[in-house]
Amino acid sequence: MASKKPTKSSKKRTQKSGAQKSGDVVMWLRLPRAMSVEELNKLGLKGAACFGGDTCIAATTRHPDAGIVVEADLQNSLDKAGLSRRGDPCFGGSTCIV
Amino acid sequence: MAWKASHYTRLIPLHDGDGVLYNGLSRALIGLSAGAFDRCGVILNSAEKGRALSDSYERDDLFAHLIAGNFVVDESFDELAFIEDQYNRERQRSQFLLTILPTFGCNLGCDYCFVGKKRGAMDRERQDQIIEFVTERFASQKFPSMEVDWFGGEPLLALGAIEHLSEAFLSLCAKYDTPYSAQVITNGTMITDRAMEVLTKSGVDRLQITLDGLREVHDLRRPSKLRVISSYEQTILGLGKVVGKFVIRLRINVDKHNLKDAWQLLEFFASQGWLGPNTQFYPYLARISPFTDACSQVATEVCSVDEFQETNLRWMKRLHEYGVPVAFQGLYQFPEPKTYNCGAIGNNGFIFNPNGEIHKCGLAVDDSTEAIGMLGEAIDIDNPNVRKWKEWTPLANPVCRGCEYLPSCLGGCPRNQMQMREVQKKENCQYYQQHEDKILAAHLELR
Repeated sequence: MASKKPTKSSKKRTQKSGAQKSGDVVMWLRLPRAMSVEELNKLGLKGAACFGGDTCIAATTRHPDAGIVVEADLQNSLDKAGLSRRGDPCFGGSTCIV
Repeated sequence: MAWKASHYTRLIPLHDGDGVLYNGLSRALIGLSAGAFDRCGVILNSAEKGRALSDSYERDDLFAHLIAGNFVVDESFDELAFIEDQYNRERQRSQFLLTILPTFGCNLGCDYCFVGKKRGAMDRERQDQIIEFVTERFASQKFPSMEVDWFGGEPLLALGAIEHLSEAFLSLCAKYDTPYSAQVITNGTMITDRAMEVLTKSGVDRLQITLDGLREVHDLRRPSKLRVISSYEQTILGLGKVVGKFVIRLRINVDKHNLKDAWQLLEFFASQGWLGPNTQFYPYLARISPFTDACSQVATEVCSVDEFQETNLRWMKRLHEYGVPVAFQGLYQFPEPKTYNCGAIGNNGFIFNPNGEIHKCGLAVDDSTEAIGMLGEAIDIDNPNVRKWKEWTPLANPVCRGCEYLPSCLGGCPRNQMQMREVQKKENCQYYQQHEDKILAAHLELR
């Protein structure tokens, strides 16, 4: 059971209530285990497998359009999924806007 | 299938209503914008502990994420039983973890040293008995890895023993296809070209070196037995030789008197070019505590857990500014679930002192009454000292069983619990319950 009550949203970031609001961002920072691309896709990972990178803007900032970005300590997962951290067509880097 | 909130899921607020969801058992970590954070809170707090959540929440697109990260689990899943099974299994198949004191001798005379007044180096016969001990175990079981900690006394006073034993260990690990790694816990004053050559050849890739503060305090607390020499200066000279060549974990012992001095040390390290993304030099703060009788006099000097942690968070940020990769590192207390929490309770953890005694706990290695056996003799599994470590489990403690921080704490130091050291036990709980979430949030800020 969760231990803490969440804080209220600030006015700046408040979104309409409901399940499908476009402004809400879920940013995966660490997976609990190696997951297949199919599993990741079910979580809403869009397009080709971009897992961000150390300098990827989407991986380091919360941009509402970024969708779901996975980063950090995932090399094992990526290896098992046969993916590279910066696989085509994601080149990562400071110009990445996802 | 009905879902319940995991007992180990934590909602940690960050700023502007944003937050993170962390599960201490699965390790899953997701960042959430304010709206998503609020919704997760509503979902996870909507039912009593252990009770099923309304299935209406499963239509929320966040729910797939909650399932994927084990933030919610099958209502019938017994998480505590899972931890208990894992704990009992992993302590059986734990890595082959040896701590070897090749000598009790030391060139420094620190009053607080728990090795106390012991003297003597490990002779060749004892060394060969260790090789025999290790060989027999390799022949009878498969280890996931082998790890050796060279400790003392000052282990670099016994380079011959390190060289002799390491050669045998490396050969056995190659024969049995077992990964090997080793570190030296040294005062840093004996680092010579010869020492570096031996350590490199011996598979040592990490050094833990300790400072007790700036020169005046360090030299007072850790005086060289050759009184004319500053041990601080010797250690700094040693650091200059090894930074960039080994992974260096520089432990800075702090108490309420020298806590603020640590900042001057940091500036000094920066001036030497030791801080950065590629130097593998990791200075960290360690709060002194009266762990043993030998250092019990420090009890009145100890800084509070709160004061220490506040300083520690600022320390991490400062290191980050210097480019030191701090985020997500266990050395800087990033929370990670453990499968078992101490080499002493792992079946394959052993400590050898120079006299040939075999121990389990490194803090009692100078106390012969705590030995579990002697090199050259079979270990008696009915020896009370063997049984107390083999049978100890944090899951016998009802407080631990109910604690949401159990996966990363696992009861803390077993010795503290066995000996009912109430101050240490209380501080351990205080650390997890009051500081772990703050530390995790700080790491996320440093990404």
